[in-house]
Amino acid sequence: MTLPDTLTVSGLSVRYGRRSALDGLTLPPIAAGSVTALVGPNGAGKSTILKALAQIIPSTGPMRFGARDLRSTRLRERSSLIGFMPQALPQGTELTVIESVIVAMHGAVASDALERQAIAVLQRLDIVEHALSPLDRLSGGERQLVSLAQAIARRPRLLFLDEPTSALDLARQLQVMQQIRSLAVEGAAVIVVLHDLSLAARWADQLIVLDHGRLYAAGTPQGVLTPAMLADVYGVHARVERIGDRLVVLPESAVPSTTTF
Amino acid sequence: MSGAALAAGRRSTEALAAYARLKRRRRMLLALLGCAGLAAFLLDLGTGPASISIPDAVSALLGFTELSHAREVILWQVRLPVALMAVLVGASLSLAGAEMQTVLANPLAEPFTLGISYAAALGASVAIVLGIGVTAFGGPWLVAGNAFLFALASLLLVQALARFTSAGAETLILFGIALGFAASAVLSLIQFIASAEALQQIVFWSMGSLARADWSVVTILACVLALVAPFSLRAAWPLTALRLGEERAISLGFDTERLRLLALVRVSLLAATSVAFVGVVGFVGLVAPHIARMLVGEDHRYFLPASLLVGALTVSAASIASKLVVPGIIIPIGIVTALVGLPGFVWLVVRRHRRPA
Repeated sequence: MTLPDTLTVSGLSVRYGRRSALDGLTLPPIAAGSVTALVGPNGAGKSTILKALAQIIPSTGPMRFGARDLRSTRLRERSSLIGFMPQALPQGTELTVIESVIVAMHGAVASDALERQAIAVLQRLDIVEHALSPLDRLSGGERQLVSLAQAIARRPRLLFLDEPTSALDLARQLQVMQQIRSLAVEGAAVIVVLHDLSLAARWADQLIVLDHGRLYAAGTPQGVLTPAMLADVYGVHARVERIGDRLVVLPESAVPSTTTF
Repeated sequence: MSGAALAAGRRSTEALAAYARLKRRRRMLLALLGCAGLAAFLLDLGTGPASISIPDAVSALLGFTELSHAREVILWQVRLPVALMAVLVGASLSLAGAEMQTVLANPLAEPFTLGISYAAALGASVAIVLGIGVTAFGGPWLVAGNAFLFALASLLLVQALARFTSAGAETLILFGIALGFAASAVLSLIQFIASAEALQQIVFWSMGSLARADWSVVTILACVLALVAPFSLRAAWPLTALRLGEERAISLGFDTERLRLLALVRVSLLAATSVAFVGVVGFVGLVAPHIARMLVGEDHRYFLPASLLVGALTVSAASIASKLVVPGIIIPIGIVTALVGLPGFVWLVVRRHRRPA
C-alpha cells in the first residue's frame, strides 16, 4: 500500500509591500483524503495563507505535494491540481451559474463534455435549478455555493476554501461540510478556513490555529480546542463542552485586556 | 433507481435543454443584429441631400446600373466611405468599450474615460496651431497622425504608471482622468495662443465627424479592426473568467496581468485610430456594450461580437439621424451620439443604483 500524497509547506513568507504578512510559516503535513481547518481570529493570516498556497499572491518557501514541486508546476497544470474558493464573491455580473462553472472547467474538460459535467457539479451541490440564473440575482448563500462549484469543477486534488460556509443557513452549512468531507474521501487534500469552531471540530481531522501570522497550535480538535487556547488567541473565556462525541465551544466573556494605554 | 435520483436526472436534462435554448436564442440575436446593422448601413447609403434611393445605390454598387456621373461620385466618394466609416467606428469603439469594462471591472469605463479624447485633441491642435508633428505623417496626415500618436501615448503612459505603481484597475482609471485633465489644460493653453482660424479648426476637429471619411481612412480603420478583433475574440474565455473576479481568474490559470495589458493595447489601437480620423464620438463605447450585455449576457463568446454589432448599428443609425435632423445640413456625428447617449448613460447609472445589492 502506498501512502497518500501529502502537502508540505515550510518557511512560507508573504510580503505586502514593506509589511511582512507571513514570515517563515511551516505547516504540519496535510495528507490527501483529509480535511484541515484553518482557524484563528480576524487578521491572523488565514486568507493570506490560502492565497499563497493557491499562488494567487506571490510568496516564498518550498511547497510540495507528493513528489511534485508546486513552485515549478506550470500554470495550466497547477490550475487543474488546485481548486481555490476566494472569500470575495463576484459582483455585478450577468454571467449565468452554468456559464460560470463552464468557464471554470474550460481547458480541463473536453469541450463536448463541458456542459454535461457543469450540470453534474451543480447537481452535486443541489443548485441545478439555478443553472440559468444570472449570478447577480442569487442570494449570498447561493452565490457561495456557485463559487464552491467553480472551485471543485476541475476535480482538484488540493482544495483551498476560504470561509465556504459564512453566508449559509444551517441546512446548507451541513450540506457543504458533507460535500467537503466526501471530496476528501474521494482523495482531495482539503484546507478550509472556518470561523465556527464547533463546525471545525466536527468536520476537520486536523485543526491549525493561527495567531498574528504564526502557527499557535496544530493537531486534532480535541487536542487543540482548549479554554487556554481560546483565552490566549481569541481573548475569550470559553467553555469547551463534549456533547455525545462532539466538541462544542461556548464563549462566555472577553478576557480583560492587560494592555495599558 | 430511486425516485429522488430520477427526479435529479430529469432536472439535469431540463437544465441542459434550457441552456441549449439560451445559446440558440443568443445566436439568433447575433444574426438579427447583423441584419439590422446591414439594413442601417443601406439606409445610411440611401440618405442624403442628393436623391439616390437604396435600390439605386445597391445596384450601382454591384455594377448593375449606371448613375449619372455626379451621383456616381457622390455614391462612391461620399456616401459609401461615410457609411463604412460609421460601421467601422461604431464597431471599434464598442468592442474597445466592452473589453475595457471587463478588464477594468468597471461598468462605466469606455475608451474616452482614460483621457484619450483630450490627448488626441491636444495632438491634433499641436499639429494645427504649431504645425509640429511627426514627419512621417506629412501633409494631410499630419493632424490625424499626431492625434493618433498622442492618444496612443496617453493610454500607454497611463498603463505604464499603473504598472509601475502595481496599482489596480481603479487607480488606472484615476490616472486616466488626471491625464485627461492635464491634456485639457495644455489644450486650453494652445487654444488661448491660437489664431482665430486655427481655433475654429481645432473646434471642428474635436467634434466627432464622419465627413473626413475617404477611402484611405476607411482602409486604415478596417485593417486595424480586422487585425485586433480576432485577438479580442480569442481572449473570450479568459475575459469571461475575469468577470468572476481577479482571484478566481488567476486560480483558473489565467495570467490576468498579461490579459489586462494586451486588452488595453487592443483598446488603445482601436480607440486611437478612430479618434484620430473621426474625432470624439462619445458614449458609443459606453452604452453599446451595455445593450449587448442585456441582449446576450456576459459570456464573451457572444458578448464581444454582440458589442461590435450593436456599436456598428448605433453609429450607422446616428449617421442617418445626423443627415435628417436639419435638412440639407450634416450635423457632426459626435453631437448626435452625445445627445442620444447622455440619456442612455443616465439610465445606466440609475439602473445600477436601483439594483438590490
